Amino acid sequence: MAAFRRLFLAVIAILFAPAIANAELTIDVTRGNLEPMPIAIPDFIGANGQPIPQGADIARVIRADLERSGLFRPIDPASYIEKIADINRQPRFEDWKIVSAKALVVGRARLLPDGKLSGEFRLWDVTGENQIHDREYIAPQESWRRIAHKIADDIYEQLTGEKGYFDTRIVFVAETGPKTKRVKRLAAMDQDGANPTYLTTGDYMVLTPRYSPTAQQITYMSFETGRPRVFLYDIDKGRQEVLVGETASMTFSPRFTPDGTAVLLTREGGGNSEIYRMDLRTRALSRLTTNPAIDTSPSASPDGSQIVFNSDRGGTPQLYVMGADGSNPTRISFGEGRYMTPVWSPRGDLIAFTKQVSGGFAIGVMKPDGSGERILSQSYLDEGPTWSPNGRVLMFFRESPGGGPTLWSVDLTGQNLRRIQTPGNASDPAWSPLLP
Amino acid sequence: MRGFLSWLISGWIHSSVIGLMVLLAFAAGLDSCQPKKTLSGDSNIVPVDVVSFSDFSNVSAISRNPKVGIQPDPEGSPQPTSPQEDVEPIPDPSQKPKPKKDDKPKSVNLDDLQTLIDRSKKTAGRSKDPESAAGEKGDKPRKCVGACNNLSANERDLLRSKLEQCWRSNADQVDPARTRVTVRFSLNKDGTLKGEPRIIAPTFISPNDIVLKAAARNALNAVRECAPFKGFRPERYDYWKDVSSNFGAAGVE
Repeated sequence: MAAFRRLFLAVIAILFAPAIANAELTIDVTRGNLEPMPIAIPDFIGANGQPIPQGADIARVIRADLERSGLFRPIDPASYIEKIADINRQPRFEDWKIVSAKALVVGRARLLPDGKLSGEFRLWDVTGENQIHDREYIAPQESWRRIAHKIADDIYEQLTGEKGYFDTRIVFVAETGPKTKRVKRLAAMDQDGANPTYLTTGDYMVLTPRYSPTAQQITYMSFETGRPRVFLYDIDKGRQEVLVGETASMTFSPRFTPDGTAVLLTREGGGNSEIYRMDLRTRALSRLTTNPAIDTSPSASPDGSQIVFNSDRGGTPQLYVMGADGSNPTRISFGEGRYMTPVWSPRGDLIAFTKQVSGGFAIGVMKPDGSGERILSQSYLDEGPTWSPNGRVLMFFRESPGGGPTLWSVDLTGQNLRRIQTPGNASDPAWSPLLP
Repeated sequence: MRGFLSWLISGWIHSSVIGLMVLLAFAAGLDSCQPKKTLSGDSNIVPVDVVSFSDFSNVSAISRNPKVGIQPDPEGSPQPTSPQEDVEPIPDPSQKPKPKKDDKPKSVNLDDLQTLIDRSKKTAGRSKDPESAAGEKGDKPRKCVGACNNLSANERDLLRSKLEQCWRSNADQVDPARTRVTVRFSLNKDGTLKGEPRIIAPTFISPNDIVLKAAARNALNAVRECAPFKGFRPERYDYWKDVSSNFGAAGVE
């Protein structure tokens, strides 16, 4: 019997010993770092491996784009050990690990026989020692900055998993002259401040420009006809038209619906401001709110099913969410102060707003149900947020006592606050979607 | 009876050995199927995708009207500077100046702060050297709670602590729950990686799923960058030689 017991224990040991010996140590890593990723981007080489001016320019714009995002830290090219001579050769990863690069971008710029410019690149994972992505873009030579922005968008997307926002434009109100006689013109520029252009003359004041989802049109409010009216500007044709032609009322605070088929706007008549939806094909207006209070600043959710707007029906300006047909308006802001200019994030997860608090104005975000309010920026006057197409960055304008308005951007952490360079004073920025 | 049992055990051992050999042979076969990296010759030349975008963008049309141009197009040909690239970030005047470590912008990491707070709790009263935390004399494994299979809490804490420093968190992702991945890796007795870490969950990642591919790459690189893992007791090698690590932000389901 004793022998049988020993045998039984031996069998048990044989059966379970491997399981015990091979047990895995299982851990949950739930907290990590959010530090900018060190990335190496040498100047793009020319067709024969030699330096080319366009190659240096493209690499410089890519480095600037990624650095500005706050998610990447381009490494000083002077510290690079390996000199790239052929982008089709695997790089010496050890050389890039020495300079602490976690990702490496090598590229080539070539002038093609038809006069166009080719920009091609390879993105390498230095730690994993493999290629992540490669692509070539071809464009007219004068569009070299777009090639750089497109490559920066590709790198951003491959390394973060989210779409980039570098190949985009900003439309804004350019302001010149003294405060008492300020000239406000519609202007547009690349997201990094390059290629600024005026869209309207300064003969009449314009406010609150907004891009269509295709970036082909801009809607805005203008005093061109004497009273505030919503206009539509066709970018390709360079032509504008009045959207609501009636003379008895004022229209303002326009914004396209996400599908681009309609414009939400505020129409004032008889001392009452209500939110309307204008179908751009039929030009028919349909009323969405019915309240004696001021209802304004509508912004639709990305799926078009809901609209956030601003109303003082509760006594002070607060944020409300209603159905796309105007049903079930529900207040979502309950903090101290006044809430204005709500804008639904392209990701759908947050609503940005301007908040007037004691001592100044702030830019903040909250969830669509009103929870999780966070202030990202605050000063004497911070106003008019607009989202980057990927919903990670907000741009707004800031004004100080005695100073003109300037454009600023801040990311969702509230830490990456930067001034956007404009030709002069600027306000009311609106971010375009990614360009086609 | 005894002879029968001997025969039974002998047969079981033999079948186990044969089975093990088959498994090893299969594993070797799988390994030989992995793509090889070549450092020279033409075999590492990879074709490049060609993508052309439209010759004339909707944006370029704006500048056709000479009356409304702000200034001559500075980008007619590749030019040196954009207004933005050389501009240093301008600090928020409403914020008090803070001492700088370097010029590079860095995001404040609340997770890191929390980690430091929690770590200080865990290491209170212990050695200041985290490398020796698991190897201290008299530092016995904590009592198991739940299905811990006799695994040391210290070894688990040490690994987690190191990996949290190397892992780029997915907390700021649109859908963090979708980017949770599990990495399995093995360690040598000196704490170096034994072979390559690999993703075991999700079991399939589509080549077109950029979000998940980026999450998987982040997790694998966290393990690679953290290695070697020091501070483990060699006599407990069996308990920490194989590790399965779930990477995903806390509070995300």
